[in-house]
Amino acid sequence: MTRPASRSYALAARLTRWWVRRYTRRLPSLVQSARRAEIDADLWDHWHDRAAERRPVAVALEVVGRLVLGIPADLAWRHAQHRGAPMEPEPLTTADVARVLGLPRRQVVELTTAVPDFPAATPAPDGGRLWPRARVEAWAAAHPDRGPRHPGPQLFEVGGLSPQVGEVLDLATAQARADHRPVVTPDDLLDGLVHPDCPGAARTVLASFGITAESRRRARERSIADPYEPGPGLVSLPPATQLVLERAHLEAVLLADAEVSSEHVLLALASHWAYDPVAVASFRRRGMDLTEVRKRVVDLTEGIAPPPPPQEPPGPEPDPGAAEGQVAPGLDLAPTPDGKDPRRRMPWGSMVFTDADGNWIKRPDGRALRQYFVDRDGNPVLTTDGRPVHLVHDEAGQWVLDADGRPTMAPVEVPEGSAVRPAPERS
Amino acid sequence: MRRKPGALRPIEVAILAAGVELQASGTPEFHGFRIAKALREHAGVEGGARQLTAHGTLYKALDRLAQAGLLTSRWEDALAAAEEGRPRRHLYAVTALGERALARARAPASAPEAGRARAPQPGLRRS
Repeated sequence: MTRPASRSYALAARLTRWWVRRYTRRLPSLVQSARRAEIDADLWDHWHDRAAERRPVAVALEVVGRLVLGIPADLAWRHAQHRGAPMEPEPLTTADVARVLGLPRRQVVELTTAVPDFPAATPAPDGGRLWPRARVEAWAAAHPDRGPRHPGPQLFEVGGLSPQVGEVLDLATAQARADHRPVVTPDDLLDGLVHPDCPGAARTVLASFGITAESRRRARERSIADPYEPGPGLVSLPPATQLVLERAHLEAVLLADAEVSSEHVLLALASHWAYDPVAVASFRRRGMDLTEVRKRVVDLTEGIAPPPPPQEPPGPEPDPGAAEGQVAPGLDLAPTPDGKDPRRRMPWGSMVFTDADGNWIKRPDGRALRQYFVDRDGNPVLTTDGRPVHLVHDEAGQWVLDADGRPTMAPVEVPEGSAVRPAPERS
Repeated sequence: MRRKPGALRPIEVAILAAGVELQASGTPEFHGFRIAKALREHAGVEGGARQLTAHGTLYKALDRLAQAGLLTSRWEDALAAAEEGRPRRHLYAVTALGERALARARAPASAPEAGRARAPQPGLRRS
């Protein structure tokens, strides 16, 4: 049971607390609050233990004695903290502030305009805003009634999606169906994100890089031109697309957002592109990498407008007839059996060459000798003089890309008596 | 005199000893004021000063012991403190490492450290 402190004890306790505030000033807030709370508990225990057996003034003097005799140790402790820990704690991102306050990030952004005494933030170099940790924690302590703690975005069962991500996937699936493709690729997700009906912040961020529905349509025509023949209409999600959608959830958690939205799909896609050399080459020309995409997403969702879209696409204006030119100097390709230009078809797979014993034939660099760009009917892409083609690799084993970010093809010199068979994996 | 790095100060030895005694008497965890009281009682038994340890001395020593892994520390459940209408206490317990450090600190300086002066052991000879 609590016992009210005497005036003399209250004065001694106030003096002690003042001293604790003094010597913990400008220390990391966690260290600061821990020491202050510990002394508070000590003062409470001291009074309730001793008040029954001693006069209040004597107990108060005892506290003052403990305070004074401990000053050298307090200063030594402060000095040790000063050496061992940064005096100015790291500032908080808006997502960090959201976690401290137990609110979704959007609500933190709203607090900045709705609540006059909310701490001020400064723009962060890598996107969004930075907040002084001590002030945010002090504000949180002074405003304990902030409602129930935000639990984070809803976690669905495997295969389940938030409503907004579901809309993105519907748009991507519609694009795959329009192209008569049986799978929804990560590229289709990008088409979903730039679609005029796509909700969320992704479309605006992509537009700031010059990527729009129109630019995507042009790029698609350059890469495949003639759509595939209509198939049975079944569309599936390959593992890469599923991983991107799963990662979108993680991005929402990291940003302390309430719902998984299109901008989280964009961040997940940008992370996926980091492993796709064709995408990297293509997007790098637009100044687009994961860091910059993340910066613009965080900026936009925290009320900082992205830069205006580039006036003209960087690099040469795509030429619709470019695909009909030579992809590699001197390479003259024969039309496919159905009369189409083979460079306007998506690569369908590859074949390895085997010798008479069935062993793979290796190139000088140790890689399997392959022919690429086999169409869906299994017809090899051939030069006009009948040689198969494959992709050109550099010394590091990476594809050599043309100015448009597409792999360069070259003829394959096939040894006499070799055969081709479907390859189990890409080299 | 400069202290050897890692050597325990007298106040730290006293805290560990009091903590071990409290644990042996059925108090698995102790808070700052509780240990200050135990130190005062212990000093009284040995004829020393019967004053409570100063705040700075006590909490600096507790902090150092916890940093060295000789004590564990945790904040008690906020609900338990609220039910009693008092601030939350920072609770400490002596670890096995703390008990070993206490035993070493209490051992007479002349006693050889176990395993130090071993006699040569017979073993296989390499040819």
